[in-house]
Amino acid sequence: MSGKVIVITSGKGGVGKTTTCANIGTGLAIRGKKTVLIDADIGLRNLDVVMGLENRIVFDLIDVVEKNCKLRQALIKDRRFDNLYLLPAAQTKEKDAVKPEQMVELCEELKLDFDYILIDCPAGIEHGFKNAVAGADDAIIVTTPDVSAVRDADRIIGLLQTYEITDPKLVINRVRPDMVRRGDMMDVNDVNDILAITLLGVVPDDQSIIVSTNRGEPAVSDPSSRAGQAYRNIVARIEGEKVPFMSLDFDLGFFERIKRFLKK
Amino acid sequence: MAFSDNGDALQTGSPSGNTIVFKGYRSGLTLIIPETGPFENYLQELRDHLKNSHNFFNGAKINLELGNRQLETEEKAALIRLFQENGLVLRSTGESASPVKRPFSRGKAARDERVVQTVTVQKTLRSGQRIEFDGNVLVWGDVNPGAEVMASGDIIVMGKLLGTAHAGMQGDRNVRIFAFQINPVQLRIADVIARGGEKLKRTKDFRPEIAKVKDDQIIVEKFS
Ligand SMILES: Nc1ncnc2c1ncn2[C@@H]1O[C@H](COP(=O)(O)OP(=O)(O)OP(=O)(O)O)[C@@H](O)[C@H]1O
Ligand SMILES: [Mg+2]
Repeated sequence: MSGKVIVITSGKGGVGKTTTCANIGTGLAIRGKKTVLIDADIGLRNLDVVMGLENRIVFDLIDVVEKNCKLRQALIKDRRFDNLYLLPAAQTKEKDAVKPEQMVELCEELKLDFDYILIDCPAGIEHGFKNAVAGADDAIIVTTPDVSAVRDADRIIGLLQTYEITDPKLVINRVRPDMVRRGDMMDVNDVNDILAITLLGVVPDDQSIIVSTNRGEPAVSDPSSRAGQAYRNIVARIEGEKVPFMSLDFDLGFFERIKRFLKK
Repeated sequence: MAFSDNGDALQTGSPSGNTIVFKGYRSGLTLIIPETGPFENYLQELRDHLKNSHNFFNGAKINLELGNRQLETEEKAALIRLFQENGLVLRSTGESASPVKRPFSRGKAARDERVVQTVTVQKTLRSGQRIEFDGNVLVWGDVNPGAEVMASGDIIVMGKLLGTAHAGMQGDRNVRIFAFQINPVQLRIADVIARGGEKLKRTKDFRPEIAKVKDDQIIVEKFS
């Protein structure tokens, strides 16, 4: 087996990388894909919390690269979803405790066993970013529809080119259709105007994300969650299915667009 | 390939060696390319080196030392492109006798006569990326917010200009900036500045536009 390593990154902090990583990973596992999530946010780990697996951590990423334990020992198997594993970050170490070469080696080893390896990248473009992207084959850029997040996403897309990741995919998170309609928020087209990369999905701003995060149960597994539906669509698109964008994906409905057009 | 971070041992860094050398002087970094041997080999060496140094040089301003080597236009363009891809800025070239007239002249007649080099950027310039060139710059893509294009000559963007552009960097007010949408953060032509959203109209139209200086102001008009 040769799995695919996908880094989930943004540049700007707090836009939903960890949320996206947890949801896509869980969604892939539900579809039967053997998936491992790597928390590369060393020192600020929280993927384990979002996944509700914090109390099961014994070893972490640093233990693996420093060979204090076997890779197998550090992987936490999620009991709710077969196929889903987590490699947690170290909470007490510095970001530079891992080297990019070690990440590459780790990813190569995991590729033999997993369909998907998802890496939750820390914010910023420093050492932690370099580690997180070192072993990646592909990238998912998460942004919120605001000018500064989009600016940082653009910077990241430029940097990824130097790592030979030339076709990153875009997730626009926390879109509020009401604000878009009032013209108070950038819409999908505004974001795409600047970034011009393949759109993987649009996730609405949704309280169910906060509820599910607190419970440690990713929204993707909740059939009634709108954000969960958006993540299910994203997962299907990663798997190569052509899923049309939901109407909430695209801010404006068809008639709204016509109205706008006629107003011009 | 050697990297020395202090302008000491000059003998290792003379253009008569057989490997490229980066030297750090007080004035900044200098890239020394040997005078003899195929340029393509040195370019490859540089490419490998930059790849392995993962953004170490990002934003660095580089002086170029070539000894008696004369770069062909394509060679120079390839080098500039490599620099640009890695976030390096070419500051000056140590070419001993340049066949190219520099665009210093201000008069209209002189402007039409001069020969100016053009560098081509093959892709969209994204936030944090910057190109600076003594000549014209042609971008096959957009210039995004947070990206910068600086040229002593004209700037031509075959896409949207949403970032910062400075044409006529060395004082020539007769240069122009062309794009299919001019909606920038800031435009500068020589010493004249216009800020986006202020003096410049904001448009979402996609049609050829050109910016130039008229009566000490930058004006943007439809290109026809
Ligand atoms: N679609 C959404 N709707 C509502 N809240 C959301 C959504 N996505 C993320 N959030 C909330 O935003 C906050 C930040 O999300 P998250 O931790 O995933 O971001 P991050 O990019 O990983 O942050 P950091 O850069 O700190 O690692 C969390 O409280 C999360 O619950
Ligand atoms: Mg996070």
